[in-house]
Amino acid sequence: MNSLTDEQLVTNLRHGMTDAFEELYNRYKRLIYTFCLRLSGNRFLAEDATHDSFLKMYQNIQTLDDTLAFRSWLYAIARNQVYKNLKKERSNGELDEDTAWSHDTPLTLTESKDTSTIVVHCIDGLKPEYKEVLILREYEQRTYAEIAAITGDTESSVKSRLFKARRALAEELGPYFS
Amino acid sequence: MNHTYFQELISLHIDNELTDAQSAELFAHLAECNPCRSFLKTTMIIRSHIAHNQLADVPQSLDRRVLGFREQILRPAARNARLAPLWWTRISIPLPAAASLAFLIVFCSLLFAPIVASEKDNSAKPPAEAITNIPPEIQKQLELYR
Repeated sequence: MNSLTDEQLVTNLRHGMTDAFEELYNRYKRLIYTFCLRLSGNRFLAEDATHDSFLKMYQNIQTLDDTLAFRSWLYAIARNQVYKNLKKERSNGELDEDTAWSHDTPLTLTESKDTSTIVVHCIDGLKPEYKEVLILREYEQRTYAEIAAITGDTESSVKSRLFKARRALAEELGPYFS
Repeated sequence: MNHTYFQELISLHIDNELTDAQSAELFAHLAECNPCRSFLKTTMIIRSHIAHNQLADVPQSLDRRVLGFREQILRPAARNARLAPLWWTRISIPLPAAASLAFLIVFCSLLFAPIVASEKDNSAKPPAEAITNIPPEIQKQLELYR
């Protein structure tokens, strides 16, 4: 089972071979959980989102058109699940287009921490639409096309959001690194 | 000078998404622009720190939940063998439905309580005909018993 590709496992799962589900889960659980954790910043929410993502993956496996796109499809499910869970928790989900921060990230609060922690803290502070593209690009090493497929957006929008996210981070962390 | 345009090119450059012509244009600009050089440097430092981050450990509870789902949903035989007892089953009712049901129970209990009470009182007393229709020998026995 370990030697099978994702496409083969998806095909097996579609034919009712339940061992394929366990193999796909073991193959992707850390990636999806980490992605949900980075996106939500909350381990309980990440656990719920990961759990729900794999359930939806199983329930909708027949609707996956291209088995080669399984990875992006699973990430898209996880991303939507995180937002769904976040929406449940937040009463005011209004997004302000002018700023990239979801809350204040004062550098003075992070002076005692190491640099990597400060960077992660600042990324956590970004608004979801900026954070998600940065996470998918920098942590998950996804291409622009894959990010566009996961977020249901265009590549030009992905490029634009990535730039805005990086500029926001550079403005926040620039003084720290100089 | 349009820093935004060149900083967008920097963002594409670190993702290896620039054409040769765009790269040449960017580096010509970087040679003479301090803010854009600073942006490139900071962005590269941020990337180097992100690269050190590793995958998180999955909590065991997640394994139990997802693979438990597999046992229960994907294998019907296993699901039937492991049905949870009724008192472990969580009954989920929408709040308006639950409130309506509670109201209905209270309303009905108030509405029918006097009728039930009066029926109880009536049932305690035997009807007069029932007493008069008792055969004489049984009436005698009853008298003796009393």
